[in-house]
Amino acid sequence: MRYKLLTVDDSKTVRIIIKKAFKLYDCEILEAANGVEGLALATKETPDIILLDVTMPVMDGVEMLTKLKADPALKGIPVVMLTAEGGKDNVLKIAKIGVRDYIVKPFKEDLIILKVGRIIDLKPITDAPSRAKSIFDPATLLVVEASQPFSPRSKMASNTLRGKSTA
Amino acid sequence: MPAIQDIPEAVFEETITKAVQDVFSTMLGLPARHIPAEPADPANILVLEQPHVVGTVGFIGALNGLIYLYLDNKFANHCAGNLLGMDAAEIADAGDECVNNAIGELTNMTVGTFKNQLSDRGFPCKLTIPSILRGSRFSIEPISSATRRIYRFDLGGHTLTADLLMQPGE
Repeated sequence: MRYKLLTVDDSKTVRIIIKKAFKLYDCEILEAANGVEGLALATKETPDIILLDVTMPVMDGVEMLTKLKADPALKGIPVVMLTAEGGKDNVLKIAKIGVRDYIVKPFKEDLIILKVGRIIDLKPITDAPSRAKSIFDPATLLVVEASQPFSPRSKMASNTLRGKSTA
Repeated sequence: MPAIQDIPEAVFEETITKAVQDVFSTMLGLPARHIPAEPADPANILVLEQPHVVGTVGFIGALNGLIYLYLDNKFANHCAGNLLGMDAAEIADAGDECVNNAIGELTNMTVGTFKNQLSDRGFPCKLTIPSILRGSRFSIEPISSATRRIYRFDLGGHTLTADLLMQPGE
């Protein structure tokens, strides 16, 4: 199964970097330059994951995310924010709308692969057919602490559960 | 909310230095070293002797400002090629637009990192979209109500200049 990754960013440079990062993986990269194009492509292609910038002309990432979550056909698509907009208030506001992860630019390509790989089962192109994730696979939680001084990189806790109950 | 005049000068230097170092190290593997201004150096004058690519992004909110990043053409092409995985011939074929986009994004990331640090200090701001200037023999002048700070960095023998213009916001 070939996964579809939709990258929504007004920066052609970022879209090229994303394509370059995933070229060794069995993953189709779809591109959109703003939220309007992103929503249209998401509706048409039903991607498996969306990498979404915040600051874009025409329609920004927050508005696109809000519309995704309001659409029953699209709200289940996992979204990872990839943006230069860090800062505690921004991260909290966007996390409340519903994202699977939040990456503040600048970023290493390896980090994008790691974060996306936690959501979809990325396989190198030469590998065997990919399998769906199971309930017993390690999972990562995004925990955003509101009560303390915040820095997205150091304080965004990533807790890995290994075979433990979430109850 | 604290006032801009309450922010020590050293904080601006530290914040822009961290931003440049984070971005250029992470995206390009290039360490950046701040070059302290010489006492006799006219720190608020920028003289462009060669063709340059200048990226600019603004920030608006508790502080309003613009940051210009000046790179000479050779360094700009080098950064673009490194970022996009293209060699010099491919960058030349791709043309100015490709380099402009790359420098625009590096500027976006640098100003984003700068303003995120300010936001966490109690000065929330939003970014504007990037724009690019190209050429030589030009100067950028602030309006009289804006303060100007110029910082120079050495990145593996290349010089990057960050020009920070600010005024109090809302």
